[in-house]
Amino acid sequence: MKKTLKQYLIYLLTIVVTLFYCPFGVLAEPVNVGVNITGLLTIEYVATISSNMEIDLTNSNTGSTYLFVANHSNVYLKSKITDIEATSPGAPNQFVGPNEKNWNTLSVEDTARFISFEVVGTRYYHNSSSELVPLVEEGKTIYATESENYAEVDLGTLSSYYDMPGMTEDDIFNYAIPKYKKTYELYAKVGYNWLETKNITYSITIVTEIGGTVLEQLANPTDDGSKPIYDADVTIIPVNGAEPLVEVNLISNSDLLLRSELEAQTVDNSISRVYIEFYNFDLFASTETYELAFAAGIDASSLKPGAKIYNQINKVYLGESAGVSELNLLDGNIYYIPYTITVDASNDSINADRETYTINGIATYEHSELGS
Amino acid sequence: MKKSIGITIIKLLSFTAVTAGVVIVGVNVIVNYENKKNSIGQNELLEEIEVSDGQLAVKINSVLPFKNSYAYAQANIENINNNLYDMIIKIYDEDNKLLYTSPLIKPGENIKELKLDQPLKKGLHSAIAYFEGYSGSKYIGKTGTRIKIIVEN
Repeated sequence: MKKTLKQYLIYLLTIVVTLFYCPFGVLAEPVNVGVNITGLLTIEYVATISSNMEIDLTNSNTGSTYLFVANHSNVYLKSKITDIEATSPGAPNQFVGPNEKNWNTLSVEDTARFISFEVVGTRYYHNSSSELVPLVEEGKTIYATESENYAEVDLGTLSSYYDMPGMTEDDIFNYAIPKYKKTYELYAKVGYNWLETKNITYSITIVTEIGGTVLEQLANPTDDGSKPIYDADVTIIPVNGAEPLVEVNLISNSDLLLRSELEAQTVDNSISRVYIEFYNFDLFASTETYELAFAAGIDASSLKPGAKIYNQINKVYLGESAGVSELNLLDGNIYYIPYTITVDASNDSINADRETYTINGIATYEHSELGS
Repeated sequence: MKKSIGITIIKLLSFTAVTAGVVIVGVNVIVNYENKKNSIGQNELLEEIEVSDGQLAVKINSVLPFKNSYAYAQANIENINNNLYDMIIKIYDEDNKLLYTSPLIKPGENIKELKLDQPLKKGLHSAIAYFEGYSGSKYIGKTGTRIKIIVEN
C-alpha cells in the first residue's frame, strides 16, 4: 500500500513538473522557418479620390480631368474602375458611351439624363524628368454597375515602386518596365440643353489589387546581337534554422557584381521576388554601354501537390539603343532587376500553404558590349 | 485493477498536459512567423510619399489572417502623415456585405490590428477594403483595394 502511494506521488510530481517546469520558453522560441516567406505583402498606393472638371458649353460639350495612381507597394498592382455613380441631386445618372447619343441635339430632358465618361489615355511619368509622356489608347467608357453595358475599366498594371531604383538614364526602360505611377485622362461629354449653370458630382471608384507580372508587362525587346560573355549561377537555398542562403558564383571574371535576395512570399498566390543587383567596378569603362539579359529557372521541389510555379524571365537592357548613347555605370547607382516567382497555391487547404518551401533556382545572365 | 486505472488516468493527464503545451507553442510559432516583415532592401529604399490635394495614400495588408471569426488580424492600415484627409475604412465581402467599419483615423494614425464586425465562415474569402476620405465631416471620395481574408477556424 505504501508502495502504491509512493507511485501515485511520483506520478503527481511528474504532472507538476510537466505543467510548471516544461520548458515552454524554449519550445516557444520563434522557429526560423528558414524561408523569408513571412510576411504579408502590403498594398500601398496613392490614388485620386476627388478631381474637378469644368465644361464651358460656349466652346465645347466635353471636359477633361485626371485620375492619378502611384504604387508604393513592393509588388505589382493592377487597378480598375469598378463603378460610377451620380452623387449630387439633379446630376445626369444614365451613363452612356461617347458616341451613343447625338449630344448636339439632346433635348432638355435627355440632357438632364445622359452623360458619358471615358478613359481616353494613360500617361506615365518618365523616370528621369517626371515629364508626362502620352500613350495612345482606345477610349474606354465607364458604365455604372446596373448598366447593360457594364464592364470594369482596366487601368493596367503599375510596377512596384521598388523596381529599378536608380534607373534614371535609360529610356529603354520606359517601354520595357511599366512605371509605378500613372495618370489616366478622362473625358466627360454632356448635352447642351442645360437650364442653368450647375455643379454636379460623381463618384468613380478605383479598386486596386496585387496583380500583373513582370512577364506580362514586359515588351519584347530584342536581344539580337547579344553575346554571352559570362554567366552567373544564383542559388537560393532556404534552410530550416537559417536565413535564406543566396550564393552567387561568377563563372568568369566580371566587371559587374551580382547579388541576389529572396524577398517575400505570401500565403495565398505566393510571390517571391529576387532582386539581382548590378554594380560596376570597372573604373575605366565609364563610357561603355551594356546590354544585360537575365533569365532564371526555378525548381520548387517541396511544394505541396497541385501547386504551380510560374517562371518569369526578365530581360533588361542597359545601354545604347533607342537613342541612348551612354549609360554611366560608375556613378554609384545600384541597378535592380526584379525577378518574380509566382506560386499558385490556391486550393481548399489554406493551412497547407504555410509549409516551408524550398526553392532552388539557377539564374544566368548575359552581357554584351554594344560599343562605346 | 483500480490502481492500474488510476495510473492510466494520471498518465493520460500527463500526456494531455504536454500536448497542450505543444499546441500553445504551435500557435506561437505561427504568430511569430506572420509577424516577421518582408522588408529586405525595402527600408533603405523608402522615400517620403507625396500626396496632393484630392489624393489619398492608403496602406493595408493584402491578406488578413484571422485565427477565428472573432479574433484580431494584422492589418497594418495607415493614414500617413502626408495625407490631407481623415479616413474611414470599410471592408466588404464579395456579396457586398459590410464586414468591418473602422473608426475615423487622422493622418499619422494607424490601425495595426482589426476584428471583424460580422463573423465569417472558415476559409479563404475575397473582400474589398474601401478607404473613404473626409475633410472634417465632408466626404471627399474613396478608393478600394482587393484583399484576401483567411479565417482559420
